[in-house]
Amino acid sequence: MLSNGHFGLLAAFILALGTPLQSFAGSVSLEFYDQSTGKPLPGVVVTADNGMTPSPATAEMAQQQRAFAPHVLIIPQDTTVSFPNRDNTQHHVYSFSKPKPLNIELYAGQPEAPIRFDKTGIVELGCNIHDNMQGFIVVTDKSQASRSGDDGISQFELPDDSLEGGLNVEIWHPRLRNNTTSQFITLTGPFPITQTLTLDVMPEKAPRSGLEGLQKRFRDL
Amino acid sequence: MLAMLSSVVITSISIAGVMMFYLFEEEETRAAKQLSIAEGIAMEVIDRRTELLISNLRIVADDFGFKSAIATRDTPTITSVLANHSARAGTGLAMLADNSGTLIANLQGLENGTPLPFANLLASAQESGSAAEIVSWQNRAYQILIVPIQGPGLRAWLAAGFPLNNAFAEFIGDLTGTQVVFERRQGGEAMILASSLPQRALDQELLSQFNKLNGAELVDSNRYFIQSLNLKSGSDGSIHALLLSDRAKALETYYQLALEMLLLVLTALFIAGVLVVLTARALGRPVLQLANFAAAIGEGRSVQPPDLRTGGELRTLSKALNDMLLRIREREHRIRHDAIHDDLSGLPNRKAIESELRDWFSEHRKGYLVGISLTDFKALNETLGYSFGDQALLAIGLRLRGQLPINCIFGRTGGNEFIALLPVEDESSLRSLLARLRSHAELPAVISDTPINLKLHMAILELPADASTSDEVRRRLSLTLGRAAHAENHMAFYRPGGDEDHLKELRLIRDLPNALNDGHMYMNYQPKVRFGSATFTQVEALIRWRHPELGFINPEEFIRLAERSGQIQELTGFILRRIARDTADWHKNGLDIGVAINLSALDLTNRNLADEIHTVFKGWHGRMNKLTFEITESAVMADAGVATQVLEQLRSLGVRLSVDDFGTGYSSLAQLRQLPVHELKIDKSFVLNLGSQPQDQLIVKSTIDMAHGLGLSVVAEGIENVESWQLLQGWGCDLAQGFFLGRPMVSTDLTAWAQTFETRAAELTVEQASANSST
Repeated sequence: MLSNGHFGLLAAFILALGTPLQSFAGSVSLEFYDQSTGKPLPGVVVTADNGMTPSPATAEMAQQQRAFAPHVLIIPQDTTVSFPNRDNTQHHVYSFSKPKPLNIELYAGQPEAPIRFDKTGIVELGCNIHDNMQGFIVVTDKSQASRSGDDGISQFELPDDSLEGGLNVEIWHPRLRNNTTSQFITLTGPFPITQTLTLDVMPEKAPRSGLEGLQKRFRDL
Repeated sequence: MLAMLSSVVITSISIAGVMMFYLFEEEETRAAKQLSIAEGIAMEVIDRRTELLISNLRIVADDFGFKSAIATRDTPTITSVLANHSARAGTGLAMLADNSGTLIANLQGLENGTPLPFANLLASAQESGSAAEIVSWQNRAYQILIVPIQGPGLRAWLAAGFPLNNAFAEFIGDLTGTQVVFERRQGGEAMILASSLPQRALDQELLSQFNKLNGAELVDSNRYFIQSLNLKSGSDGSIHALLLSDRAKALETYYQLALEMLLLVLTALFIAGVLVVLTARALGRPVLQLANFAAAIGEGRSVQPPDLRTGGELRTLSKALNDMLLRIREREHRIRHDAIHDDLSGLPNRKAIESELRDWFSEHRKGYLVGISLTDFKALNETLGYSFGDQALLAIGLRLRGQLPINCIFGRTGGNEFIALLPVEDESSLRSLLARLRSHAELPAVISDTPINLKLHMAILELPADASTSDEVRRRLSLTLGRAAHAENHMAFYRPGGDEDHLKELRLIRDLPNALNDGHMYMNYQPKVRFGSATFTQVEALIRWRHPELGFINPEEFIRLAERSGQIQELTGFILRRIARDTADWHKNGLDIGVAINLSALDLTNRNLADEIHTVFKGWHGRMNKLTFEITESAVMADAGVATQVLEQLRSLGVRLSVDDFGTGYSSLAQLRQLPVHELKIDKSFVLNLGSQPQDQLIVKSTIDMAHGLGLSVVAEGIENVESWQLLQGWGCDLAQGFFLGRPMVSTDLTAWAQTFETRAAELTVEQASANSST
């Protein structure tokens, strides 16, 4: 239920990216498992070079019900992202991530200007008021980007020549122990490639109590 | 009382002892408990500090500015934040590292970019979000906490820590009341990291004690009980907090307690003691005072009766003692007075006078001692009664006292003897004083309505010339008084030498018994010759004493002394036995002569004399008429009654009795007629100069005639020349004795004399013839 809401926009993006590449015949199917639980791991972002460069676009990382929506936003390089506030509280969105440190001071509604993400990498977002708000923007220069589904499987097509010199795939998951960068894996052919990967991820956090850090701190006083 | 005191003492000491016993026995248990509590507190403190650190770190970790400084690698800012935080939280150590463990900033002066020293701890923090541990680093132990600093896109780790330093050890030590030592062990090696003890206290002994520590067991050293608390153990060594319970300090409270207990006991004892003393004072002190008082009375000291503040029996006792003291004093005074005063006259007595004399002698005082006696006092007593005599003495005493100077000592030293000590130097003033005394004392007096003239005689001794001891005074005064009684003016000065005679007499009296035994006493015999036939018929036995030192002693003298000293019987016995022996010898030699023996006046009072003579002269039975006993005229007259009886007894023995020294006494012819005598012995004073004294011739001739008329024979002694012999022979005198015939001689010479005399006998009868013819 939650994942559906989060990933709605992403699904459309992936669909848009994937359509012109259907003529290629190399099929890759990666199956992710959580190392600690042994269960399929959904939400693993997998990007790969399919020979095309994605074109910049605009995207939106909204704050809704004191959470970033979507939780993980995958955007092509140079995409401009707007941060609309749909809560009745103010937010202070910021990031120390190297690809794009940002700091949008307290605001309500629409911030003054959308922000362009010109460097690839993982940008982690937070709200200085609401510590529990966490969101990620994956900035990629690859056209092929997909996410593992609830079954932990991420499946995509690549051109045949992709295998030359090894197929480099970037994988990332918000619960990676070091989730500030992607992990690189090299896949070997021939197609279709089916590989099972077990990721050492941090355990899923317990559901929020609903109280944010500052509130909690006041309460602790 | 003492029992009360001792029970208090025993109880107090017992209680104190039991309590002390438990206190010390519990020492280890208490120490263990204390250390266990201390362990809990130490852990709690460390945990609290961790919590404090966490909350401190959270504030920092959540600080947006800090995070952005980290994100932008603004090292100066980060370092300042660390320093600021470190100062605020009191952490000595602060380091910031990135997610890969590379130092971003630190306060320890490490080079940034190098790895965080606490890799293991970081790993566990990365594992579980944060980590807290005690680690040792650079020879120090730190309580280190590593927390993540997380921001969107920011992963860094903040390590902060408190050093386990001396201050912290002291802090825990203060909280727990122990000493705290932080120690690190690696392998077998121990290392002191920090300590609440001063460095010098960590001596070798204590360190070796630490090495014995094994786990959580309690170890006791001389000074400490030690408990080890393991703070961390790992491959790189272990860190312990050693908790030391100071035995002395732990016991200090017990000592304090013991001291208090001791004080309590002492206080109890003191109070008990005070009570005892107070009670003793209340009860015992008066008793003691009275006892001392009584003792003082006993010793005759002059004391005041104790001032008692009690009543009842003690007061009664005190009063009784006081009365006793007064009576004793009075009695003592009286006794003392009586001791030195004469009853009758109240004058000082002999003792007082002698005491005064001693002073005179010791001070060589000059003066005269005058002894005064009532003349004929004995007669006075006998005729007028003793009470009259006492009155007379009293009168004389008072009169004399009245005339004597005040400063002169005057006392009554005997029944009829007064002594005055006169500090007069010259004899003339003495004589005038004595004259005055006499004139006053001899004034006519009336005693018991009887007028009387009292006469005194006085003896004077010049001091210190005439006597230098009390004894001498006594003896010489007595002698001189005896002389004074018969002196013309009833006064006599001591004559030097008089006393020596007396002493000689004393010596003779003393030596007499020995003389009898030692042969110094012997017999002489003087022949008596019958006038008519000029035959040797009898000897007069004469006792002689040749004293080994004093020489020849006059028989009259020592016989008188023997009489006076009561030794005359022994002497007479000796004489009788000796004569009996000597006569026996003569008889053996064919000398058949009689013996005349002198008897003293005292012999005539001896009723056993006749028996004694009878016994001694057993061999003479049948011719007892050869024994003649000569008795002086005065002796017969002195005690005529007994003497006559004794003489009768003698006469009945058959012996002859002769009146010796006839003509010197006052015996009347009437008395002489009464006596049972056979013979008169004309005193030699009539015979010695018979030839030239016509009066003597008349007396002797008529005495011979008278004696013959009374049927008595007559002996003449003292015949020293032929004239006397011839006259007496012519008058018909019976027996002759004298130097003309023969001197007294020893027994053994008699035989020889007798032979010689035989040759003279014819002459004497011839002379008689010639005399007759010439007449």
